[in-house]
Amino acid sequence: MLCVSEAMALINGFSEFDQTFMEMTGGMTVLESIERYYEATGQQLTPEFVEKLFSNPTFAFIQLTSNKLLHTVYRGILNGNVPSMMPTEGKGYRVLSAAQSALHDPENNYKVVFGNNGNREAVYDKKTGRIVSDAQYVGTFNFFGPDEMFGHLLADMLPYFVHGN
Amino acid sequence: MTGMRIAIFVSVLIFILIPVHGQEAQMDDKFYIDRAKENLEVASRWLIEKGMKEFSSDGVSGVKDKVNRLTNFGVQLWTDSLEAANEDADRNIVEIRIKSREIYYGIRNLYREKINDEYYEFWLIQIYFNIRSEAEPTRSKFFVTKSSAFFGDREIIEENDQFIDSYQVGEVAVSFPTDDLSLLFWMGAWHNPQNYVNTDFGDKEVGIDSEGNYFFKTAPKKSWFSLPW
Repeated sequence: MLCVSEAMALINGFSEFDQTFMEMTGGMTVLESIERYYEATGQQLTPEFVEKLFSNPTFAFIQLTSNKLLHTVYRGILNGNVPSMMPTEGKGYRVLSAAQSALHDPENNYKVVFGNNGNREAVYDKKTGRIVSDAQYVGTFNFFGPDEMFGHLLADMLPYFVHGN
Repeated sequence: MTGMRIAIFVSVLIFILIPVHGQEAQMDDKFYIDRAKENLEVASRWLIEKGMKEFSSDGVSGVKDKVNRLTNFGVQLWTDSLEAANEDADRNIVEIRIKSREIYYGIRNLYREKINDEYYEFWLIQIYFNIRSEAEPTRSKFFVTKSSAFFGDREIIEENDQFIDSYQVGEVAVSFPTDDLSLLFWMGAWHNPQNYVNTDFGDKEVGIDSEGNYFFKTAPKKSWFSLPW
């Protein structure tokens, strides 16, 4: 017996992970992300590898700390499709607390995550409402959302201690 | 006890992997960074010349599709800013953000005037190299374009690495309003004064208060890694 999401995925020609991936990235497909990463680095990923990055925190930690391009370039590719202005209404986003924004200058910026799990991330200037691209504070993609503490720590926080920001 | 084990495991892994990172950093991927720069140049010019027309006919998805084809998926539009294009405005008209390999291009149509049924527009590209991929200073490029319709093709009639403050159309000079603090704020000249050598903008930082009013601040020490966009 298929669940609804699996049935939808089959009807649309995408796997269940493909559907989830598109939700997390705001519309990008797994294959598009692989294509972009190959164009940017010459490194070839596989859909199975990508799925494991999102499902196995230890695997993600090892890959993201041992391959800097995966950590920087692939993470950057995944973090798109965000509003240029601070969202003020509607669904699909969450403004994080100052404590959760500690590395993004919470005195002057809002940190906002998008999607069901908060995978996409953007930082907005409190005064202008505009998105921040400053390397020190720019939003970065989360393989595991802020609520998935263990995965978020391994895949989205510790790699920065290894590679730097 | 379990928490302690995890902490030890993570510490050991970090200790082991730091040398791997060192080797990784030495890998020569200059080829790909140079290609990203070339792709960004191609995409940014196309966006200035053809972007608005494409946007009016096929929307953001059409623009993204064209940029993907032009750069073989090398450049991304990463925000929805094109959708906020303001046909009725004469300044801060549209901004388009693209990126590749942690290099960010902020493309802005800052100001326009209509002369003899033609629009003359001042465009700025702020190029921002993320320190993680390649430490280069931020820099700006300037363009003047001519078009007959807001959602039409544009012809680049002048471009320069130095700020363009005016353009002569016959006997009429189209001048950039250098007394508009909001424009100076978004130009962020103090971040890269090397692109404003014939002006004093590089020494003048403009701020914005909580009520949206712009004001001159004392220029800070030059920073390579801070832009307002």
